[in-house]
Amino acid sequence: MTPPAPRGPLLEGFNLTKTFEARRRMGAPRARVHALDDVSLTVAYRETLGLVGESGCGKSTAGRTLLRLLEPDAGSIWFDGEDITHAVPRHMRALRKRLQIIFQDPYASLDPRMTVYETLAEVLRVHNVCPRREIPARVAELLDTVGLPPSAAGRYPHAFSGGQRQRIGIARSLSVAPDLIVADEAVSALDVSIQAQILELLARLREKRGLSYLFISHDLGVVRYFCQRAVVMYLGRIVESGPVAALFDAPLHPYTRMLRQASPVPDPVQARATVQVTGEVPSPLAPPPGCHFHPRCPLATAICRQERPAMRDAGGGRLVACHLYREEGKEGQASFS
Amino acid sequence: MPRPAGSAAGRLARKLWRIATANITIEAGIVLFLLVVAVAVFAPLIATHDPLDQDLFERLGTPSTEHWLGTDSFGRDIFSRIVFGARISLVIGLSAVLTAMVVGSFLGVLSGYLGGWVDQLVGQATNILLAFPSLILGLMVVAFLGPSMINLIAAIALATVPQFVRVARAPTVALRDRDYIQACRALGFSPLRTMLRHVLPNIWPEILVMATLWLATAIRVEASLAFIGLGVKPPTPTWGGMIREGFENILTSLWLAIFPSLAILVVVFALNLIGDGLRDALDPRLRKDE
Repeated sequence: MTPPAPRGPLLEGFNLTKTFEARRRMGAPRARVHALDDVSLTVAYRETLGLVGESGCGKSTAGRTLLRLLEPDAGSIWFDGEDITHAVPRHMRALRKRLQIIFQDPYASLDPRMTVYETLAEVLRVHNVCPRREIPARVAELLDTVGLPPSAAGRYPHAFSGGQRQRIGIARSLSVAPDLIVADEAVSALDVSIQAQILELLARLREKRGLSYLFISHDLGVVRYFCQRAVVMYLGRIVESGPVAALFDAPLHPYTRMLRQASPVPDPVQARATVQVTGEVPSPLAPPPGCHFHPRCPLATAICRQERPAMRDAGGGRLVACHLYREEGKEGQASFS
Repeated sequence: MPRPAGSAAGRLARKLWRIATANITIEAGIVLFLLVVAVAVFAPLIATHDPLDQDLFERLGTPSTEHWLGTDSFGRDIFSRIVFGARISLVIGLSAVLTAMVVGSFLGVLSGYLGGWVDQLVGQATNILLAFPSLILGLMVVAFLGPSMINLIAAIALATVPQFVRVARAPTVALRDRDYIQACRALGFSPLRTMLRHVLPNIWPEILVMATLWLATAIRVEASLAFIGLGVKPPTPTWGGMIREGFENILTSLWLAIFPSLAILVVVFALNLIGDGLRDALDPRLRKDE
């Protein structure tokens, strides 16, 4: 399960900002949801980057903006050394051969009126992946790759289980031979046993095809197992990033600690969370000033309420955006243990 | 269970058959409508007389064994004229609705899928057309262009287009953010392919219901235009024109207006049966498709 070492950036987002206009009530001022607030992240060649956070924190928006399924309000997107922020539609459609996505809901992501064969063959035809007469063989090969029998080709999506549908979705993404796949909560909707199978499939593809993933998930356990590095988002901002082992074993940001302690531990003997997740996520319509996390942070001080913390290098490939972080980094942690 | 992929046309035919036999209302409507279509197609075989043949000795004749539904003021056979009149009504109605369906559905899907200024433009144009009752709009166009078959079709199609724009746009907007339509963008499909291959096939039941209901309206509008003298020019038999001629003798020869009216009634009734039945069969979405 150790893929080759990453080399150089493949997909990069710089200072991405995306806001959505909220539904307006009569006479009320125009409200905007800040889904992405100055978000920068990099997925390296052959790297699997996890993107974690609570629902509504902007992780899906980040994934879709990086693929330009949503247009960023500000910032830039680079793919394989090329600025694709303003790539024209025709060029973008060609780039999509290399950039793919797997959706969360395997029931909603397949056209219910097309057989598996039609779904896969259409992609092969549109991108001229192979000569027409080779399409049937290619479809069979794709099905085999994702562990589905050749007989699956003639059936409609509704004839499959969630896990099988997710395999079809993966086959569809693979049909164009991409370099990078954004897995948007790709296993969240599945049973735990099926999750393991799909993760195993994704891991095998990573090894065989040298794929990179942006793996969006709220499940820390899955991210820890599957990813090399991870980025933690809170209310549209990145609060911390780094290699998964360091990030989750010795989190620097109080929010990462809270997340980690809230996630279930398989070993019941191991100490349960000493700090419960407290409070609700504030409305993204009116995020708190300063550090977005300060209303829920047990360590918040005056500066946290006023100033946005800058992203600081914490060594070992780690970054953290917290006023309380010192080079030693031990102050905050002491009060948790 | 494995299901053979089959050809797209074969599946569409099977699906149409299943819908056509979904309930008794649809079946009754279809049988009645096909009967009218058969009359129109085989008009020369069914008609007992030449619809244009005048016989001045048999003017305003009452129904008899020779003239089943009587004769008009020129002594022409009413039955034969109604039989041939079915052709005009159906050709104009079907052509107009088909045109409106193709153009309107495309504009509706385009406007719903692309949004933005396209949506604004199409929406405003639709609202302007919707502001006029279809008869008034048809009347203005025909008055402007003159009453020919093509102009009548164009006028009725124009009046019907907005209905299809609306009925296609709403479900498109709902579909646009569904993952499998988003997936089309992620897979690099062109907007045109996405709309034609993925949006349209998922919304056509609504469009089909609309088409049957508006076919009835189109036939009524054609008859109304003919009644006020803006139909296909005489002596070509049209139902609306026959009612108009009959109207002049309504006090003495009631049947002149009654029989063509009944013909319109039958067609409109048949189409409304189909439309209502389809709405019942498709609306609750009882069944997952295929």
